[in-house]
Amino acid sequence: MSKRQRYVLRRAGAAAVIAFVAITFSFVLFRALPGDAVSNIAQSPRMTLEIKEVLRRNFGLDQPLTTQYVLYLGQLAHGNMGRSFQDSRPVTEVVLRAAANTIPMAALGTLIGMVVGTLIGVTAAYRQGSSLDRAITGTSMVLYALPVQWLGLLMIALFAGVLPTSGMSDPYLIDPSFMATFQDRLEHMLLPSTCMALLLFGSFALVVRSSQLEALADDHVLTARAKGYRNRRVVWREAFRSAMLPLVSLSTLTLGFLIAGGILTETVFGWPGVGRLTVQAVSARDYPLLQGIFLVITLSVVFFNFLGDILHAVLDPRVTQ
Amino acid sequence: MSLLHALARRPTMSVGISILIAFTLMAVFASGLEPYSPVAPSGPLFGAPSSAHWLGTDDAGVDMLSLIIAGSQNSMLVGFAAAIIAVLLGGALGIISGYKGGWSETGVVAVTDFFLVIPALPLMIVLAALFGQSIYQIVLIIGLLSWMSVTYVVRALVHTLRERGFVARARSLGAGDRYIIRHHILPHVAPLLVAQTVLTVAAAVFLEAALAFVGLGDPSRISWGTLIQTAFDRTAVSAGAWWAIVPPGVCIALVVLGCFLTGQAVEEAMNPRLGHAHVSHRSFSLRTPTKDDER
Amino acid sequence: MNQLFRRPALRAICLLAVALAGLLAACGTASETKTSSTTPSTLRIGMQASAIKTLNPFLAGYSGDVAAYNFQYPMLTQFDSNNTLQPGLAKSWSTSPDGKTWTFNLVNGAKWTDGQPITAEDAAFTINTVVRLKDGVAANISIYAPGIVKAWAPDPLTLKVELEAPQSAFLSNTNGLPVLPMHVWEPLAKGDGNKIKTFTGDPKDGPVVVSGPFVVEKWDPNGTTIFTRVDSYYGPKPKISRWGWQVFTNSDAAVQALTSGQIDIVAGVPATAVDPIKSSANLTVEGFGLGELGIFMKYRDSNHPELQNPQVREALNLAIDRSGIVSSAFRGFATAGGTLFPPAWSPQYLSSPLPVPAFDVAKANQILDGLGYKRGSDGVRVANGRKMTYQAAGLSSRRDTYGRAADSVKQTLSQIGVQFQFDWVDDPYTAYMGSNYDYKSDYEAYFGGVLLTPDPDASLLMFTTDQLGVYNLWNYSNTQLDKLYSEQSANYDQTSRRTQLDEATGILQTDQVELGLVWQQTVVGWDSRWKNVSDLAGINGWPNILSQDGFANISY
Repeated sequence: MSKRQRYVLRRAGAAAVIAFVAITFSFVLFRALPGDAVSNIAQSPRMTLEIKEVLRRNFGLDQPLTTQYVLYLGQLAHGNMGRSFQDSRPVTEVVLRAAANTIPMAALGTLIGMVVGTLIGVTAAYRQGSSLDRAITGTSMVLYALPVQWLGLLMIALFAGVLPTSGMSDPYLIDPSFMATFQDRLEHMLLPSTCMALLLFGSFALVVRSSQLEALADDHVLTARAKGYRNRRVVWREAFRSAMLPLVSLSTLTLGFLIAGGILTETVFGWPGVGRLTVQAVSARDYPLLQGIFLVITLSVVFFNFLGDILHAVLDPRVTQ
Repeated sequence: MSLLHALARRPTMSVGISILIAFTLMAVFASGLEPYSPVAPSGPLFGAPSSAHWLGTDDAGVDMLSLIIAGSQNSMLVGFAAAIIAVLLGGALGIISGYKGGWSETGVVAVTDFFLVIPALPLMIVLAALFGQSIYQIVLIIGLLSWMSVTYVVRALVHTLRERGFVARARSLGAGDRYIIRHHILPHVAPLLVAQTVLTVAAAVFLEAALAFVGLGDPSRISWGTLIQTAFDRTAVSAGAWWAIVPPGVCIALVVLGCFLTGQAVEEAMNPRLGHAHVSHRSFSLRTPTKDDER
Repeated sequence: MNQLFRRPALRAICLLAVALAGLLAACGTASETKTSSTTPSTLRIGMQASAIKTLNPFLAGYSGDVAAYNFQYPMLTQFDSNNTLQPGLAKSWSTSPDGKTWTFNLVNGAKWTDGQPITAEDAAFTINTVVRLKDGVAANISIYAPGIVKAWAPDPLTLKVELEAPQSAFLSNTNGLPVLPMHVWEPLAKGDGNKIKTFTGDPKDGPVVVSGPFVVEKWDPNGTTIFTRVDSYYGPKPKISRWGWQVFTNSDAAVQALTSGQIDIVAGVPATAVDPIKSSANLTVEGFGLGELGIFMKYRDSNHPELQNPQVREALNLAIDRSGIVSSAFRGFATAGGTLFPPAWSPQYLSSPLPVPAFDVAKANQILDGLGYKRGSDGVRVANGRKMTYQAAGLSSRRDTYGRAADSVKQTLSQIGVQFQFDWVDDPYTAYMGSNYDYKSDYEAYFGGVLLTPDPDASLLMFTTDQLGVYNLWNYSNTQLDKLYSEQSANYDQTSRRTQLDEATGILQTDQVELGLVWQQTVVGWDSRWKNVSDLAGINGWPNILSQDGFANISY
C-alpha cells in the first residue's frame, strides 16, 4: 500500500472515530435537556396527568438512558433518526427536506462569495499597497464585521417592495410553468443568498489576499519572474497554486457548514431550511429532531473535512510524508 | 520593546485601539452617559430622531441612544469575558500540546479537531436552553466553544520556539519545563495571546448578538444583540423605524472592526517579514471557522 | 486607470455586478405582474402562527393542526363569532331526564367526498374509538371526549352518547372532536390502533375522504397549506373556492406580504404592526377575540406564606396599570381585565362581568403598610421576614409580545415595594410547577395566557383540587369551590347554574386568586376589498376554529 493510500485510510479512520464520538455526544447532550416535549404541545385546559404519562410513554421517554442509547444506535444504523415530537413525522424525512431547501440557497451564496472573494483577494494581493488594495481590504473588513442578521434586516428594509423578503416560493401559483417556478424560486432566493455571499466574500478576500501575499514572496515566484513570465501567469499559475492550499481547507470547511444553512440568515428571511428548523426544534424541545439536525450537520462537516484532507494530499505531496 | 514601537507606528493599530477604548469607556461610564432611562419610556412610540432624542425611540418609547449606551455594557462584558476564558483555555492547551508533544499533543489535537467539527452556533443554542440564559452562562458557553483556533495558533508558535536554540540551551543548563515555559515560551507567546484575545472578543460579541437574535440572550439585560432582536420582532422595518435597527449593528461592526484592526496590527508587528501577511497562513484559515460557525 | 479594466478578475466582477443588477430589475417588474394574476376567489391568509404540522386529527398538537381538521371534517355543533352555539352536522339535540344521555339528530343527506352517506354510525364509531384508545394513540385527541362511556346509533340519523355523569359543558368540551368516516378509519383503528399513526391526510397519498367546507389541496408542513372548496358539503357553501394558510415566522415579513399584495389577510401580528397597516389606504385593521393574559401566582408557597393572604393579593392587583398596558403594549388592541372569566360570558353564564381592579398605587401601599410589611433599604418590602421578591416564568417565544406588559408590571409593582423578575424560558410551565409538578420551584408566578373555551366550565375546572399538579396554576384548593364546580358541571338548568357560577367566581374574587392583566385581541389586517372577514372571528381570536362556517360569507 502506498504512503498516500495509507494516509487516506488513516484520515478515513480518524473521520469515522470523530463521527462516532459526535453521535454519542449528541445523544448525551439532548437527553439532558430539562422539561420535555409533552408540556409544550397544545396546552389545553383538559389535559390530565394520565394523558401526559401516556404521551411520555409513547415517545419512549420513560426508559433508562442506556436502553435508549442502544435503541438509538440501532435505529441510526438503519437511517432511522426517530420521529419528531411535534408531528410524529420521521426525523430523517424532515431534516432531509429542510436540507434540500437550504442547499440551493446556501450553495448559491457560498459559491458566489467564495469565487468573488477569491478573485478580489488575488487582485488585492497583486496590487498590495495601492489605494485599490486598501479599498478592498477595507471593504472586506467592514463586510466581515457586520452582523449577519443586521445585514439581512437592512436588505429587507431596502428591497421590501421589490423582492420577496421571506419564504422560499409563492405558494399560490396555480400550475406554474417551469420558467415561472424557476423565476419565483430565484426571486425568493436572491436576498438570502446575497446575504450569505456578502458575508463570505469579506473573509475569503482577506484570507486569499494574505496567503497570496505569502506565496508571492516565495522563491519560485521570483524565479518565474526572472525567467520573464508574464505577470498574469506568475500570479495565477505560480503564486496562486501554492496559495490555494490553505484555501482548499477553508473551502471544504465552509462547504461542510453549508448545510448548517446559516441559522441567522434563514431566520431573518424565513427560509424553511435547516437553520430555521434548528431554532424551531429548540423552542419545541423536539429532541429527536434536534439530534437529527446535529448529526446531519456534524457528519457533513466531517465528510467535507475528510474530502479536504484528501484534496490537500493530492495537491501537496508533502502532507503524506 | 521593539514590538510596542512597531505597534505605535501602525495607523491600523491606533484606529483599532481607539475604537475599542471608546466603546470600553462607554460601557464603563454607561449610567452617567445615558441621556434618558434605558428602561422607562420617555418619548413617542417609534419616534424618529429629533433634537430631544438623537437616535429616536423604540417601539415602547424608550430612548434609543440610552439603549445603545446601556447595551454596550453587556455586549462588551460578554465580549471580553468570553474572550478571556477562551484564550486562557486555548492558550494553556496550545502551550502544553506544543511544548510537550507526544500523547498530550495528540490528545489535545484530537479534542480540538472534534470541537471544530461540531456546529458551534447550534450547540450554543442547545446549551443556552440547557443551562439557562443568564449572562454568566452565555459568557461560559461562548468562551468554552471559542478556544480552538487559539490552541492551534499557539501550538504552531510554540513548535517554532521549541526548535530554537535557547530552549535547548536552557534545558542543558538543567532548567525544568515550568521554568522554560514561564521565562522563555510565555514572553514570546504573550503578544500572540493578546492578539488572539482581541480577535476572539470580536467573535464573542458576534455570537452574543446571534444568540440574542434567536431569543437566547439574557432577557433581563439590554445588549446590542437584544436590540437587533427587538427590532426584528417588533416590526421596526415595516414601521420604517430604521433608527431602531441601524445603531446596534453599527456598534457591533465598529467593535469588531476595532478588534480586528488591533489584532491584525499586533500579529503583523510580530512578524514584519511578511509585510501585511500574518504569522502563519494556517492561523488565518483556522480562525475563520470560528466566525463562520455562527452563521 | 483603463489598465484596471484589463485585469480579467475585475472584468469578471463588473460583469457579475451588472448581471445581478439586471436580474434584480427584471425581478422587480415580474413580481408586480404576478400578484395581479391571482384570482380573487382565492383567499390568501398569512398567519404568524405555527404551520400545519399534521393532517391526522389524532396527532394534532398545535392550533394549526386543529384548524386543519376543523375545516375538513364534520363537527356536531359549532360556536360562531358571537360565541353562540349553532348546529353543525347535528341539526338538533336533547338530553335525557337524568342528564347522562345526549341525543343528536343529524342533518339528512350529508355525504362524504367519496359519495358515501354520513351517518350516525360514523359519529358513534369516532367517539367509541377515541374513548377506547385514549391511553394510546388517541391520547391527544381524547381531551375532547371527557367523561364519555359510549356512543351508538339507533338509526342512521340519530346519535346517542352516554356519559359517566351529566355534563353541562358537554358541547363546549367536545367541540374539537371531528366525525371521521368509518369506512376509511375502521381498518386503521383495529386492535391497538397503531395503524392510525400512518394516516397522513396528505392529498399526495391519495384522495382524502372528508366532508367539511374545505379539503386540503396542497400541504406543506413547513410553509403553506392550501384548502379547496368541497362542493358536496352539507352546510352553507363558501363563496371563495380556495384559501391558504401561509405561515410567517416574522411579523415584518407578514406585514410586507400584505402591503405588497402577496397575501390578502394577515393575522396574529403584534400590535406594533398596526401602524404600518393602517397607513396603507386600501387596508383595514381590526382586533378580534379575547386572549387571556395574566400572572398566575401561587396561592400556597412555602417560601412566601404572605401570598395566601387575600389582602396581599389585592394589593398586587391594585398595583397593575392595566389600561397603561393596553395602550403601550397592545396599542389599544386589548381590554383591561385578563381573568379566566371574560365579559363575553355575561349574562349567559355569569350575572355580570367580573369587576376589573382599579389602578391605585396609594391604596395598595396603604394595605401593605397596614399589614406591617416595612420597606428595606433597597425599597423592597419584607413580609414576615421574607423579602417580597417574586420570580415569574414566561414563554421565551412570546417575549416580544408580552415583554412590554411585563416591563410595566415590574415597574408599577416596584412602586409598592414589590420586586418582580421575569424569566423567559422555553418551558415556563415546568419551570413554575417544578420538575415533579409539586409547585416546588424557584418561581412564584407564571406569566402567560390560557386558551379560553366557549363555556366557563373549563376555566373553573382549573381552580379545583383535582387539577393540582396539572392545570391548577395557583396551588389553590377550596372545598366549597370544588363542590360548586361539580354541581355546575352537571347542571343543565341555565338559571341555577348561573347562580352556582356566580358563587364560585365570588369565592375566587374574595380570595383574590387571579391577577389578570388584559384580554388581548388577535390583530387582523386585510385588503379592504374583502368583505365579512369578521365572520371568522371567535372567542379565541381569528380564525375561529370552534366553527366551520366562518368562511361562508367572505368574498371579494
